Amino acid sequence: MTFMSLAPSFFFGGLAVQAARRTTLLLAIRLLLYVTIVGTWVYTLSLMPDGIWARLGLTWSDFVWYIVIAEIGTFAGGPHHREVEYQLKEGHFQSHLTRPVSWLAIWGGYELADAAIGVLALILTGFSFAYMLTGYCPITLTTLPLLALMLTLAAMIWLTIGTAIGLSTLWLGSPLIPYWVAQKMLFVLGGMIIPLHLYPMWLQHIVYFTPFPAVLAIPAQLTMPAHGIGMVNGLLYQLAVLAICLIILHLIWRAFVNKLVRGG
Amino acid sequence: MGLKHECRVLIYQIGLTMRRMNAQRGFIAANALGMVANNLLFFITWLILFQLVDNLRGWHLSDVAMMYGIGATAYGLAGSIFGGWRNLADDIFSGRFDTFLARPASPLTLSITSHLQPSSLGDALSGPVFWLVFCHVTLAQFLLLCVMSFVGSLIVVAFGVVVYSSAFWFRDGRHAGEIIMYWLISFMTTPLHGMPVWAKVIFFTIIPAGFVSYLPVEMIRDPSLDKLVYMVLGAVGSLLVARTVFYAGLRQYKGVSGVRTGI
Repeated sequence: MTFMSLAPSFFFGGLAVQAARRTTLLLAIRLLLYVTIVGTWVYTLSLMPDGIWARLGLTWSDFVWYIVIAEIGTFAGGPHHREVEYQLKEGHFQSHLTRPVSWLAIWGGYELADAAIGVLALILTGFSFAYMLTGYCPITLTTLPLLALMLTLAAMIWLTIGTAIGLSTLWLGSPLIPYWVAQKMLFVLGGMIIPLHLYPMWLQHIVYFTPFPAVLAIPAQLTMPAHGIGMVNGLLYQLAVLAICLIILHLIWRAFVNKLVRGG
Repeated sequence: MGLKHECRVLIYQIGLTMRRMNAQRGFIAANALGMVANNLLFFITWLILFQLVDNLRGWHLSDVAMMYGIGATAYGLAGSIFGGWRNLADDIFSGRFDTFLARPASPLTLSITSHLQPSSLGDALSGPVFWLVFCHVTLAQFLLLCVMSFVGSLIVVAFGVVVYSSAFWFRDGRHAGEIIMYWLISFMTTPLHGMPVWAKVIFFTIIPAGFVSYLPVEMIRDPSLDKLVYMVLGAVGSLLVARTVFYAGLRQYKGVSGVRTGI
């Protein structure tokens, strides 16, 4: 029931409207942060020696577009772990347990609506920013829907991971440490700044055994079609990662409910 | 209440913080280790970047590591000794701030020393790890880095007090404060040496990240008394601005409190 009800709940108009209202301020904050972070990295890359781009077979503009899209995956959703922690500490879960629809379904629908709005706003902001800097756009009208789909999948994967980390509060008391570690692993193993094909070979072999490239590098690789694992493989990889993450989240949720019911 | 009294209160409050730390040793140690791991993990991105290039317009990996270390230690000291500034907006919004007004000491001193950020100790410890592992500094340089990090932490506290004091005026002061603090952190961990002059002016005035991490690295690269003096002046100036903004906000607080309570 939990996962089956995720899809319809996404379309619940009320949830989407609520999410839009709540996100107005948070979205503005996220967009500001997004532009700041992308801007500082783009500036840092501009400090690289001129000759490096030819050696890497890329241009500075390629990097700009790569970073702009890679960052969308992390900025699309809010601080999910903090929200789950807050709800747990405020006792919201106990009241949800008596309801006919699982908390996970309501939460998933609400946050997905939030993420969808975030993806749209970030695409508009990021594309404007990157176009202003580079004067071109590597994403064509035909690849744009695919990019939107990949970014939404990326946001769903990060939402799943963030929710699992938030639920861990019941055992750990605070989700902060696992969140920091997961976030930094996302930045490094996900290829936030540097495309994965430029990583040392041994690290390239490892990264695809983690979920992190599915959040950042896979959608961003659409800007560099000659590199990466390709569109179809990328999409399949994201779907596989999402499925595994959902299964793990479901197991954690069951353990969470059991512990909550028994221990309070 | 004179300066002597405030210094006594400050020392007493810091002592109280230390005792609080001692009482939650396990929790704080876990958070601190988590933060050290967090900082080191993120630095892997820079390691990969410096495998592709030898330098970023004259800055090598050791310079970036030094900048990261100073930024982390300054931010960590600011959060572990004077961690209350990060809760200032929450305290104002929730009304907890009222408790500082009823005590015989400056509300600024009481509020900035009222909280301890457990993870900040990890930030503070990250700096020496970066300096020793990536920078191979001498003992004299190490001590100088510690001193400059402490001065930097005063600038972080001052900046934090200014941005979170916006909660005296604005309902969304906390969110705005978090964004602006994130800017400070971003620019504290970005090599600023290639920036145009107008940007450098911003980083030495409005967002004083240049004083916290850029100037200390330049100080180690090319030592001069001038730079140290500039840094100390930057800290003193920041503290004076923070004090002015805080008390200007405090004068507003009665009104805000009245509206909230429906008086």
